[in-house]
Amino acid sequence: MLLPLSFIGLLAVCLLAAATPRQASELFTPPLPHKQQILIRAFGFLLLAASFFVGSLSHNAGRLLIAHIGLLGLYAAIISLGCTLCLHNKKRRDPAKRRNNHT
Amino acid sequence: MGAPFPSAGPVSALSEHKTKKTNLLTKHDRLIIAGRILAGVGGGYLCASLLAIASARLLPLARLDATIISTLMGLICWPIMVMVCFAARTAVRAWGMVLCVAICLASAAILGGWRP
Amino acid sequence: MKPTFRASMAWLHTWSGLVIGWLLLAITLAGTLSVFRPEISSWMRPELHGRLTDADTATQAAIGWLTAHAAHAPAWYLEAPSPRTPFTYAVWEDGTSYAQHALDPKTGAPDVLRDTLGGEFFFRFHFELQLPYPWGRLIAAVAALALVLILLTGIVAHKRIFLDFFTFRPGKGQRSWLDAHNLLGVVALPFHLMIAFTGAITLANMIMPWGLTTLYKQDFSALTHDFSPATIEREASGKPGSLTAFGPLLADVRHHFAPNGLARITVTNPSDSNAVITFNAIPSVSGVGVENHTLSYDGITGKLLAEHRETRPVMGFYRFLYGLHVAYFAPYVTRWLYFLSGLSLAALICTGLQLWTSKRCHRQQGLGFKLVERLNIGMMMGTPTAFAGYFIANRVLPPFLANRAQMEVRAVFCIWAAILLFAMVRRPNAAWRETLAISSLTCLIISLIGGIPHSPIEWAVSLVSLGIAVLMRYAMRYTPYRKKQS
Repeated sequence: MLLPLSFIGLLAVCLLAAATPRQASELFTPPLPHKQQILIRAFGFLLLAASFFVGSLSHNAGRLLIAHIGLLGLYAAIISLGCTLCLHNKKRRDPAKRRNNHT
Repeated sequence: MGAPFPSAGPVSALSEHKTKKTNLLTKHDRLIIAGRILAGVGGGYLCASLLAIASARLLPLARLDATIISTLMGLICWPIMVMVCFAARTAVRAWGMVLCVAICLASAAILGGWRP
Repeated sequence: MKPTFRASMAWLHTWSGLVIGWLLLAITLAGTLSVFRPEISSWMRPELHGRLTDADTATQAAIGWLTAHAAHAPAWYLEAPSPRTPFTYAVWEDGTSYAQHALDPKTGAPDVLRDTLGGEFFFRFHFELQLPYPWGRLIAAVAALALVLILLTGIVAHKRIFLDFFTFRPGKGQRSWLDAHNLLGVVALPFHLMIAFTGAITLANMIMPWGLTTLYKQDFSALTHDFSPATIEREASGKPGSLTAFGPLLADVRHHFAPNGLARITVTNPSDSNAVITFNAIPSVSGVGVENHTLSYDGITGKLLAEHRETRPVMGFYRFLYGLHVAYFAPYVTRWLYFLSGLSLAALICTGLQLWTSKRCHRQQGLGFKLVERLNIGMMMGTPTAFAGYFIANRVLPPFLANRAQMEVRAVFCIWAAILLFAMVRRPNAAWRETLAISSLTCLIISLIGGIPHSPIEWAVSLVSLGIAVLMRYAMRYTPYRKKQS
């Protein structure tokens, strides 16, 4: 039960990360349009809510949700490090772009 | 952290003369901070204990249940009272709030049958 | 400038964090390690290898040995063998002090296994801080509530919680520390809040006993009875008696507890005709709360005196909160998540302390600043090094030394003091590098000390300590104070 739940959670966290304003404008070229951001974010939150709802229906809801919340935090930490790495690589590849972004 | 004086939130209004370089507090500032800390930690604990006593007395629950719930409420109350004391505009006001809350809770507890 | 609510909360966050941060760091690290208390205890007793028997045989051996050697103690408190701890851990009053030993699963004697506190040291230190009775617990309870306060004020002070959620910008000095601080705080925020508040709850009777005293006055037996109705309190009669056979008793207990296992056994007045044996079940296989099923037997006749299965909702809620903190319920995935979240709380505290200094290192530096920056380094590196030193002391000290357990503990505090002193006298930038090198080396030694790991536990200890050693080696590349020290 935890495995499918954590997949939904991972997907949701990925979507939310992609649609966070800073990541959306820095990680993607061209930057994600505002409307798409909102859409993706809404979908991410929906998935998140769905995963919690599904989890709370299980007969072992307490334990499941505790593990689920812990895993979500872990995903968020890993993804943010991933974003850092991506951004770092991107900047190294394209130093001119970086100057543009900062001006 | 947008505050230019992150180290001197509640006192910065009272020490406009302070330059950015020096981090020294005047005697007056120290006194005010000490007053707030005392209000938050001591007064906050007083309020939390009185809340625990009043709710233990007044909650219509079995004895053990009332004990548990009131203790939990007291525990939450303390940090919140500390926050309230530091959010208050002046130290005097912080003390005023603490005393008000404490008197209200104490009278509730006494009405509930508590004798100190 | 008008002091806003947010600014005043930021101020409170900063200063309360600084005042209590070092203590919280030690408590957090010890707590994080005690997530794996049984595993650490097993790792620290390599003599157990090849001496394992089934749980009931081990329990009976332990009872047999205690009957022969500690019959006149007023009570024995036993932690029953379980899949996680293959031995019985017994505590009893020995004259004026408490004796605590792991009892060999085969013979029940303590002297086959090396004398060590094992994971129990971290567990005890986590809330008693190695201080005499009320003080350690009191300080730990206040620290827990201070953590609640720090977290709440931190949430208020932190403006853009969702914008910063997935952001970490390394190599930018103070900005990076703040990013790391925010990230660590936010991703495990539910855990941090939960662990801080439930930590205060586990020690609630130390700091907030007023609800209890106003309702129960001094009537402790009524309290005990309400709290755990199956507890039987019987005075010693003075007439000697011998304990009933444990074999059938344990079979009966297992039958009652099924499908849950046995967690603790308490025998009061073991050599008296009024002996009582109490059994506690481990939390149910599906719930979260701590033990909720208790059986009391007459120690002489073996007759069931009382049984209690917790169904009261408020009590269930309390046990749920308690269970969340101690995580006895946790299956392996959750336990590792607790461990990681605990580490992230420790890192959160470290980055917070580091922020305090890196924000101020460009200003005029008084004595206070110098003290804080040195204490920071001493505590941040000293705590892990001292705890790592405990693992090494366990392997290095001869296995059958007198007072061995105390010497291990003393080693921890000696290392701690040495690192603190070192950080005090050395230049901070150099101290940072050198203390990290020492910590990293100590962790590396743990992972190598046992040679090639045999069991999953040894593998886990080796890999985790190796990982921490690598991280610390990596942190050595960083110089905390860019500006030249004045």
